[in-house]
Amino acid sequence: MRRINDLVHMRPLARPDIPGRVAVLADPLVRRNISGLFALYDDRELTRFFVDIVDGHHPSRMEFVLCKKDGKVIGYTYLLGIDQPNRRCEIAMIILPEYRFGYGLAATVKTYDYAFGVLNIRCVLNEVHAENVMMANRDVHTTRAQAVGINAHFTEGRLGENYLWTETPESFHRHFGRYLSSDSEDES
Amino acid sequence: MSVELVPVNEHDPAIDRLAMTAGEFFRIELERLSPASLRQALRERGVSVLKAETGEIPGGLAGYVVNPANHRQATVAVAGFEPEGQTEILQALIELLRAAARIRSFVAVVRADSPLIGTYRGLGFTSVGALRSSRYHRYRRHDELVLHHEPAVKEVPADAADQ
Repeated sequence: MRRINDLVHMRPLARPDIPGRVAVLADPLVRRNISGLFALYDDRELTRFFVDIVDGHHPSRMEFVLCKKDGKVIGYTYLLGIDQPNRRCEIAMIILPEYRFGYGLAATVKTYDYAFGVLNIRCVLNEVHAENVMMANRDVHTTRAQAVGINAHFTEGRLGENYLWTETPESFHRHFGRYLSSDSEDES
Repeated sequence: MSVELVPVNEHDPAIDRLAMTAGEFFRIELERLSPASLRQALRERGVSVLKAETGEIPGGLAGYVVNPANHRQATVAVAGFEPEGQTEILQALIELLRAAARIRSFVAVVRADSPLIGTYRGLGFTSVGALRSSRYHRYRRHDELVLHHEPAVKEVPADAADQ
């Protein structure tokens, strides 16, 4: 496997990125995997929401852009519910549908690594829509779920379940540590 | 025994009083927390706080956050200034949210060793799992219990609710 850092770069969301960040929420495949209630907000409201984040008005949420080495945007990742006293946060990401195979794992590892390695978070909460079709490895959320959020989201006209589980620095290194070593051989 | 709930803003003295209790409120460990930190934490979580105007029972605070992905669901929490009375306050909050905000299901997240678990269970909440190591309290990490409650809908027939 190629080293994660060669595959995906992560930079803070900036104002020029906002139109793309808003547009991705309208993608039909993305919409199938996020709350359908985004339909209640028009582009202007969503733009204002992301401008507020970029301007620092939501300290418990951080937004990043995921890019390839050449700067081409492949998706967005964000940390929300950042709770410093509990050293806890949630992570979420949206990979553009054309990049969802091959980049999802790299994006996940980069985001965890930022939470644990930079923010000193000690528990990351993962919450995944039970019928998520964007995850290449769908077994992950069913085998690792620690709790089930009943009727936790409304998507495609009906209520559905969410799977929830936590990742700690220890479990992160156990599951993903092999992708972090900068000395690992590039097998691709 | 009825409990009347009234909304309070973050500058209400009841918030200062809450900061001096030893319990928890929306994943916030209240022990030795400054009122300013409590206000900031409530603001960041988007918590709507209500105060129990009580007659015979001691007062307390209740709060809720509507689930942004399902506006018919809310996370609720209660913090009484005395151990007794919390069940009544929580019951009043649930009834208020059902009647006034059409909330249909309720979620609570409490520390796995919280004395409040019995209060929630007594009102019909059931456990849907435990999140490992997600809370910090007194020098170590604790699991959190996730509780869910969906009161039966009496006034609307089930087939009508599906439409």
